[in-house]
Amino acid sequence: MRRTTLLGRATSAMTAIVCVLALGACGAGEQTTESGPVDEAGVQQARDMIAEHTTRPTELNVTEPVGRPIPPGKSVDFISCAAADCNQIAGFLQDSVEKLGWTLNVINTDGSPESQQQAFAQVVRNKSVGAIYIAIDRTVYERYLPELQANGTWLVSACSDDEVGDGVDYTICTPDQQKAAGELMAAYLVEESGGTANAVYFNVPAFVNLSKMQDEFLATMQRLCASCGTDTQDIPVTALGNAVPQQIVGYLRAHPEVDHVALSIDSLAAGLPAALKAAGLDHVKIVGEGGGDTTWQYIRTGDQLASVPSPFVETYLAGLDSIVRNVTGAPQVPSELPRFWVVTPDNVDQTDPKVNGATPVVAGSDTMFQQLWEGN
Amino acid sequence: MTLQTERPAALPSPRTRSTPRWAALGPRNIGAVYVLGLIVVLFTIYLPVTYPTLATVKQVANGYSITAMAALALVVPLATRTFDLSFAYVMTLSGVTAAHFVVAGVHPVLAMGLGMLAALLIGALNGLVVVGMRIDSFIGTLATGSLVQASIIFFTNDQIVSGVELAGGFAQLAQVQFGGFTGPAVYAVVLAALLWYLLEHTVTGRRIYAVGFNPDAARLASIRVDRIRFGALIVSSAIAGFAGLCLASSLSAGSPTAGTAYLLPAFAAVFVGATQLRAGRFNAWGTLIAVVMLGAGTVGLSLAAAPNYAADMFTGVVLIGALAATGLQRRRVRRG
Repeated sequence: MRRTTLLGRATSAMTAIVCVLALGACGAGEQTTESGPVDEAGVQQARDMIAEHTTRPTELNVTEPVGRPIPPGKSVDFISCAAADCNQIAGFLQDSVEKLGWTLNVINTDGSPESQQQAFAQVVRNKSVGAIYIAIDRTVYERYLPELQANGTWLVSACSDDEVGDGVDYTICTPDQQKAAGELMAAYLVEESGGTANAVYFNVPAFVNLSKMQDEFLATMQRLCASCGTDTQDIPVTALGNAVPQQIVGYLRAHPEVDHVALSIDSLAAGLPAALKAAGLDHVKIVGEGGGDTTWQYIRTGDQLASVPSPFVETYLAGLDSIVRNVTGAPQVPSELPRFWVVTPDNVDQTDPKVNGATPVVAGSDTMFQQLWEGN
Repeated sequence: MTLQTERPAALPSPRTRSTPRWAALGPRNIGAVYVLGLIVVLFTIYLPVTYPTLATVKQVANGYSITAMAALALVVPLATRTFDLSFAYVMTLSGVTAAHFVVAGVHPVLAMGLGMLAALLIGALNGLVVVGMRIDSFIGTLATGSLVQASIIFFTNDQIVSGVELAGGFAQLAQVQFGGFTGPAVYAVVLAALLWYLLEHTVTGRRIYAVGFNPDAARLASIRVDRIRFGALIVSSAIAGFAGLCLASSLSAGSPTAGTAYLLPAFAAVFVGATQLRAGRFNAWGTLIAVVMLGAGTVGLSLAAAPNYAADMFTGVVLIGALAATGLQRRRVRRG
């Protein structure tokens, strides 16, 4: 018995450690660093970009009024998600749908494909004039598309890599539309460091709508500051919650030359400032994308340098706007996001007031959308 | 027979069976320490500059201290053979409650007291469900955990409680440092010492183990089994509540899902810990050793920039190995 126990333990331990070291060996990243003089032209270009984008945009992504009477009594479905942001989205969609004299059906999901399929089955049964969903893989709902088309339900895909066609009527917050946030994060690091940044970009590959942001970040760093160091690291979606700060701290300890961290989503920063302080790495500066109350708090307290907020309000109200246009027969307008905005300690106070807890990129964008639907 | 003076018949002492004293240092008794040593040696060879440093020790201690406290919350109930699946939700509840009151302007100490009060109330609810209503603890505490999570979402609208007020005195609970070690790292060691004393050096501790090994025999020996199990659930919630306060303090925010991420790592650590030091018994120091072992491996992986699936794979393999060992040890104990 004793031999079996010891043998079992030793085998388990050895297997784990050998696996782990082998994995570590094949996964070790290489940092790109080209030492050289500071690219003053690149820094100036970055400075100009940031000067423009730290000013909050005032123009909405949709400016064309619907111009037709809106029939009352319609209903719209919103397939919500398990994240806190989805509750905010449901809240401001509810307000706007009520202004139209319509009803919003919020269908909750827990992120599992089963719950998402149930949600689409519910949309089929509801026969609503439109449905908005967030980042759901097409294979999950493909089989419901013929019925949705037969029902005349206008399908709006938000923050996925779906393309318009074959049952999907409108897409917004696509990878191409999101990638400019990566450009601004890079520009901010170049501007803030005076062209000496050594940066690592942490990506969550599970969020496909952010897939092109990393490429844009790297391309912009190369364009504006070829001598700046850059690297990328992937964070598994299962690590979100408690494991991310230690993963980032581990990377930074292994790469002490890195002094800037760029986060594809700001929620990766939860607990990171405290972890950096505990590890004596509080000289490392953080920028991110997404925004939110915790991010604004970190920026106010100096724990985070800047953030490029996601235009949640404008994204989903543009989706609702496309449903309104389809119902009224008004011409559709091209899908686009408002100009991105960089929030820094200097302008973080502008993140108030909010729309149902979410900070709009364009102040008062909910009212501006509602005005597009009025006056007929 | 009085348990104040005699060890219950159902509790053969590992010490009486292990004749030589040095057997306590054998791999059967502290296998995780040997695994930890192996991890340290291999990572030292692989990462000679970054791994064998004081910074790594601090990162393991600071980075896994809340996981350690979460795991310690499970030691007492599991020692009575009672599951507490609600502890992760209690962590969330205490953190969100305290954060809410801090943002509302309440003094941080009072806010933390209110967070602890909320946690203790859930402990009492668990006791009512598991002990009073005789519902299986696995299901009962899963149910109360769900109710707690639902309440949190109801009151917060699933939004993170944040505000600059949280960066003040409240943040000090977790961000205060003692020689480079953060508060939670120190609290975890103090908690482990308290639990060790309770379980190993008090009559109550012997009763707790007696209830866990054989509740019927314990009842026949005049131990108030229900009271012990009720108390174990209260202790669990109290420790989980404190861990939740530290978590919220570390995040400088009250996240409505913050504790959930600790559910599996804590159970992993406490079950691995049960294979250490006190063969087949859930114990505090063994749990800390398990956390350090898992942490040392995970930190090594992050220093090595291992691919994103490596940490989960490491945890899974170590857990299977340790649980297999636990099973073998328990069978051996039963056979005497």
